[in-house]
Amino acid sequence: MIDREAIRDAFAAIADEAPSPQRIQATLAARTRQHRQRRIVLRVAGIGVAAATVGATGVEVWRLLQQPEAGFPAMAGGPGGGWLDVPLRYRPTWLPRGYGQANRTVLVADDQAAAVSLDWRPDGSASDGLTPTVGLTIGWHDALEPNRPTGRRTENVDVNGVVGQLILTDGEPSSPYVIWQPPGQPQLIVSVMTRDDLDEQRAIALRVARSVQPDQRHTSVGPRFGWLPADLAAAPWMFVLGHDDATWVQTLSTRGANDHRQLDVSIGPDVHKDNFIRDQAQPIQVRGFDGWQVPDNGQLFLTLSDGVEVSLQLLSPASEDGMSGPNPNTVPDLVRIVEELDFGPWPDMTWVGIK
Amino acid sequence: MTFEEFVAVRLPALVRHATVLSGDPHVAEDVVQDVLVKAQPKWTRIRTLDVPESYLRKMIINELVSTRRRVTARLRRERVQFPFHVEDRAEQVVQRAALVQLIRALPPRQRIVIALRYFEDMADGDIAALMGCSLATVRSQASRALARLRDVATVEPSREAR
Repeated sequence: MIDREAIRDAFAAIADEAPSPQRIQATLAARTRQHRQRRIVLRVAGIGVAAATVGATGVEVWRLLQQPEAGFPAMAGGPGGGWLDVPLRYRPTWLPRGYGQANRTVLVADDQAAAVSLDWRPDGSASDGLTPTVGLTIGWHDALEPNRPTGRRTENVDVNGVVGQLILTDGEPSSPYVIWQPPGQPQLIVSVMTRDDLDEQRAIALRVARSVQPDQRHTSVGPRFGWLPADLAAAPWMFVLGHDDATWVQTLSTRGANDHRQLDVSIGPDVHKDNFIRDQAQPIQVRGFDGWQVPDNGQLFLTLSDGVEVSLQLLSPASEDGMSGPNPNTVPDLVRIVEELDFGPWPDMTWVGIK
Repeated sequence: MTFEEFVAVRLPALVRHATVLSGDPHVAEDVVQDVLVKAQPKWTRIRTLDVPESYLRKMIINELVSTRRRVTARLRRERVQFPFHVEDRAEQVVQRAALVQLIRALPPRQRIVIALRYFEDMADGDIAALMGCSLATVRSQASRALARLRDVATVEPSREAR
């Protein structure tokens, strides 16, 4: 006899087979992180953020202050410094009210800083890839070409006597960026993604670009790779220093030629939380530190003696949507990478929240 | 609520929901992941809806009945044999196992309709709205599904005869 209860029981049995959501969470976190890496240097094209319909205009006169914005957390970093000293060279002297510096990215090619990108956000919350951001990219490298934003709506603009281009990216929602190159100087790109309408964002982009001035400040790259698999060793790598709420995070990532597999190494006091699937993890010890490996996901997690966490993941070649998935059975490579990784000094984070 | 907060709280329920509708935990995992990947860039808009989860549940249904998904699910069913607890001769368990097999084999729309009606206790009108079809379609799909599930009565005696 088939009745309502029998059918309900059968569906309950099926429901009990529901897989653990942790694998999905890990995949989403990896994709978000990968998106973030791609956007971090050039936060413009096709970001897929619906502009909010509420909120006041972001355009407010701003005077350069050296005090962090109130919304940013004070965080304990380290002494700073590192093997590579990187001059910032330029900074905007105008930003929408409340924006403070949240990320510093350095593209390292042949042991040199080929490009630097700086991000400002309106508060100290962790970025989910959709957080309003104003970016300034200083310099360029061929490795960044896949991330170059494109748009059919282009106009010439004057940036303090230099002809530049203001481009509105294709797709919805569109975002503006301004690209120009002063004579004898590196290429500069200002990108804007706020919750204002496109006209307002366009005005912000132009105003930020026209406010850019030389900057004598420096930043540093602390960690560096000692060994990488051959397909990754030849490529430039990206160093991102930022924060996740009140804790610092530094990330090293590199991608093989032709968008082949990608390595992400995250270091910080709290970097395991988003990606660690405990029930799939197996214990491991590397460099005398206890850790966990997840072979199916190509992941390795370590906790150093001072409590700082390290996570490594190799992502497989990009699929048709341009994103990657886990790269299984790569733990031996990850072990060697972390064995030969120079962590460097923990980063100075006193710059977070300043202009 | 940010996308991450929503996922942290509601992902288990979405996966369970998709498992019931698909009858296949592997398909459910794929579908939920695909739906969340699609939803993430639109989250600023989705989260302003009265019930963002309803929007995602509708996306899951759309994904389950999509042509591409039906083809891959069928191929998977052809490759995978789900466990059938033939050793357990308890009548109720055997009947449930047979019923589970029949539910898994239902066409997606029929399975979704009876899952929503009998497992999630939704009214036919609400099911029609969720699936974007007419009330008559819901009832005809349910009727066909129930006719197939009654086949379990022919399975059960044969097992009892062993």
